[in-house]
Amino acid sequence: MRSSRVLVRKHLLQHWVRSGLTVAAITLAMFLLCSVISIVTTLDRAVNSEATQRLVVQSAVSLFVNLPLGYQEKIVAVPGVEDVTVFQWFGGYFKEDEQPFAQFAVDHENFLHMYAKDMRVAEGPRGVTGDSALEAVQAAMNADRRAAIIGPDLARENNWKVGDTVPIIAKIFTKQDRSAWEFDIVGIYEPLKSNFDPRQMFFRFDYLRETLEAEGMVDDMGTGVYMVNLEATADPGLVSQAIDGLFENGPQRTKTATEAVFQSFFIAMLGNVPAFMGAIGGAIVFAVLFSVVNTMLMAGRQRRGEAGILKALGFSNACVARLLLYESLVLCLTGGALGIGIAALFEEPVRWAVGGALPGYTVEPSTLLLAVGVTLVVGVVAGIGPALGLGRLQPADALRSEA
Amino acid sequence: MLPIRYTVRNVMVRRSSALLTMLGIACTVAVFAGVIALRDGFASVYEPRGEQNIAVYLRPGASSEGESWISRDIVEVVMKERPEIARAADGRPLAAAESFLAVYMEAKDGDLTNVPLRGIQPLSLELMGDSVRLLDGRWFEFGADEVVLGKPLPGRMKGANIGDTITLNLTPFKVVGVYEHDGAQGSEVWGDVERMLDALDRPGFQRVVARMKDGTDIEAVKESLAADRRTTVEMKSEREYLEAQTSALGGILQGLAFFLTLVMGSSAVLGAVNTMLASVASRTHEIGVLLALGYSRLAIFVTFLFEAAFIGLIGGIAGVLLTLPFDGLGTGMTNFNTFTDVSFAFSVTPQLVGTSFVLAFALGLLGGALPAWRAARMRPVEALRAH
Amino acid sequence: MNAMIEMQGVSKRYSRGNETLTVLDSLDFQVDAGDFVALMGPSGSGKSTILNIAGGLDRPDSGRVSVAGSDLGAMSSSALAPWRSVHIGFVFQSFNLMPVLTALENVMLPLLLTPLRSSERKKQAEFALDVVGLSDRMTHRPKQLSGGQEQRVAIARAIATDPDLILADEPTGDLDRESATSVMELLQRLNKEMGKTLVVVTHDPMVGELAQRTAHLDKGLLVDVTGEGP
Repeated sequence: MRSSRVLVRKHLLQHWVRSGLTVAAITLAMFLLCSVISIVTTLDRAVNSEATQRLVVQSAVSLFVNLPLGYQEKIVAVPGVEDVTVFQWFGGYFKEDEQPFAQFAVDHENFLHMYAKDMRVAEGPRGVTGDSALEAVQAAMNADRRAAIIGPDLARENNWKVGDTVPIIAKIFTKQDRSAWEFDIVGIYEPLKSNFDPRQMFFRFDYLRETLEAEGMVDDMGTGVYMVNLEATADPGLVSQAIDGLFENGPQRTKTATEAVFQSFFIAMLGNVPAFMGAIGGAIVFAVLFSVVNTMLMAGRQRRGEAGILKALGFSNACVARLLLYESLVLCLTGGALGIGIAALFEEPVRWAVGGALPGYTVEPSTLLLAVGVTLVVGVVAGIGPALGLGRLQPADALRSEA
Repeated sequence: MLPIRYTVRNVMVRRSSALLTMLGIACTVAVFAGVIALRDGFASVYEPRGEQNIAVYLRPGASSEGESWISRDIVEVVMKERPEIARAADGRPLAAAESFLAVYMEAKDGDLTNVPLRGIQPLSLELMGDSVRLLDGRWFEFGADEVVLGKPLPGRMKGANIGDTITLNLTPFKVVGVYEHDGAQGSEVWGDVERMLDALDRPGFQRVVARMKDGTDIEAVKESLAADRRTTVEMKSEREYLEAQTSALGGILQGLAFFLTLVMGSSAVLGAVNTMLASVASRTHEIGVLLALGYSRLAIFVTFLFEAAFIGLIGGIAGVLLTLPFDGLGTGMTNFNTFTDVSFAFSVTPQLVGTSFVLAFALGLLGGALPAWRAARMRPVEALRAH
Repeated sequence: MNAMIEMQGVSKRYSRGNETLTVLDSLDFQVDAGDFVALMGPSGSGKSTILNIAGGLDRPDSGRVSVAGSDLGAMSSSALAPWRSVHIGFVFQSFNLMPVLTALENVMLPLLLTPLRSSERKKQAEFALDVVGLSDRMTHRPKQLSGGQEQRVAIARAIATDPDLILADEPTGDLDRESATSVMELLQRLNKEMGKTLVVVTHDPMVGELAQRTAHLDKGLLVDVTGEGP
């Protein structure tokens, strides 16, 4: 089929403007399709994340009702529980018009240890990196009441470095004089799991509590949730029941679930978003299909005379039809490869651009594979009609249309 | 100028090509209009209506009720002492202290949802005036463990019909009625604020709402509150407050619409360029004749540009028609400012229809510009020689 | 008699790759008002180029061209377009009607460039179609007409604005004998009865016989002029 390869290439190059425009249209569409699918898969991944040996204890009434601090001791005592930390949403901002990021107040003594599978301390005070960074950061956390550890993306965006003091303005825990809270950055972590948000800040819970108590703003400080690490052999379901059982009669009833289920609740809050994204993805595929069909119809019309000559020379109908189908596939696969390549290469910039709106934006290999499939289908569907038309053409008619 | 039917008939001659281009533009317009209809529907929930002289007091720095906390002492100071608050004939302030909490409810599809729970005072209802109506059952009794639900809730949530019981921590509350509110508070659970604070063991309120005296200078009130060390609250007019509530989700939807329209639009323009280039190429000879007849280059440029814009506009109409069935379709999304579920409907406004047409027209123009320029630049002798 | 077309020392060269092709070589050529001139000669002798230059579609590399009292060399190409619509009527070998427009609409096309009211445009176009004998074909599309009828519509289009000069490039080239005769009779009638100056490029000896003058071209030079000269 050497001759057909030459013909396909010649035709595509002869109409290089049209070929180029079509390839560009496919490139854009496939990039967009990959992006839209990635939004859904990124949202989904939190739900489907591997079953962790971690439970989240929260109020049964509302995410915004705090649990008493006294619960911690009782939860630690439950069989199967390895370690517990408070986990309090701070809800502040650095600059008002920037992408929001999450800040959490945690128990500094055991937090780093509890999250060793989720994140790795990459950099500590005075440029310490590698294995000794964890120890150095732990020491700094213990020594400095205002110590905080931040994610790599947050550090890059704001140009924060270890040793900096950063002001965070509170929306919930407003100080009496309305001044900003100050935190000393003692470490930068690196996520070990792709769904661990690289734009978070963790700081000492006792700093939050003592400051608020000194300001006279709270009577009995609580925590939004407790994060509970389980022993490797513990059954998450049984431990959850045991914890909820402890507080069945108040003062605050609890709802304990695995971290995956807890996160899936945030996904459920997105409601119909996956359906909307699906509709948009469908529109993208149809739009590009129309575009390619248009191109192939034009190509088919121009190819009538040539088809007649080829048939007169003895080429079979199938062979003539295949030529146009190849042309369609070459266009689609070129555009598809470019679009899919851009989607994969631009994963980092896109993640940065969407920031807090969609933490951990990731383009899955399966998404790219799906896009390749869609490209192939578009190529075949767009090429098949005009190709069959050429195949069925009577040589005499085909030659006449040349005139 | 060439007659319009010349354009229309030429489009008809190349109808398969023109139709495919129109459909491509229609898809782009439909996606744009769909996302904006979502944003508009969401924003319309928060669109302030009725009287503008309602004040909302929150804790300084709080951007929504969920983040706010006002102690009972401060509530009393605000109600008694703030000079801008209007008073009834008997001297009592036209103000109400309310609690607000996003509580878990199970939706009919099994998902856990955050529903706004609002504790109100008798004056809350008075301040809302005509915008609130009882649809079914009766209002809750102040002092009793009873609640009324917003109109969309019985349809969307499990166990949310009159006669059902909603347990808040340890206290069961009975559902006794369904209300309708023309505004942001249409899909909430309402009960007596004192009963709610008691059941939830929360000692503080989330906001104070009040009617302001006629002619109140809002900016002056804000300044006086900022200077007041004792009354640690901030004040916004209800309009300002509600507008601020749509910033997060509204911003995301707008950004999404912009991004999608930019990329899909570019793709559609490329398709239109292809179609128009083919149209110009097949009429090269005709262009030569028009030039020979004395038509100017500008006339030829405009003719082809118009042809492209015409294709775009038809595509725009098709795109809007694709979106129209969604108008009024109910959906729900989480408002990220308050972290609660909001029920609303897609809203295809006349303004959106207009914007969509302009978008489609512009996509056509963009796609036609280069080919039309190519047509206008042709040399008559060479164009006439082409076959 | 005053001159309708006056060309002095007109040269035109085309370069094709490294080769330069001289199409017209300092040609002097004159057509008087009311004349009917047939331009004949082998392919590539420069007949069509003379026509294109006279109609303001093409410009010479050197030389002076004056048509209907206007010095074409002094006019910009944007000024030439409206000038053409007033002074020149073109007739082409392949008719060149707009396939999407009816006969009447095709004839009205050049009238759209005039300040006439639309009712007057229609009247004038109907008149032109009447002159070419196609009053009963006004609403037909080009596809529904025979070749001879198409060319007569094209002639009606050429005379619709009542120009002084009609330039026809092989008007009978695509027609059978019978249609060719009727088209040439029509053109001759326009010359005799309406006083249109007519320049026809042709291979057809019959056309040459009908013309008052025949100019033979070869390799860009006027080699022979027959008939009643100026």
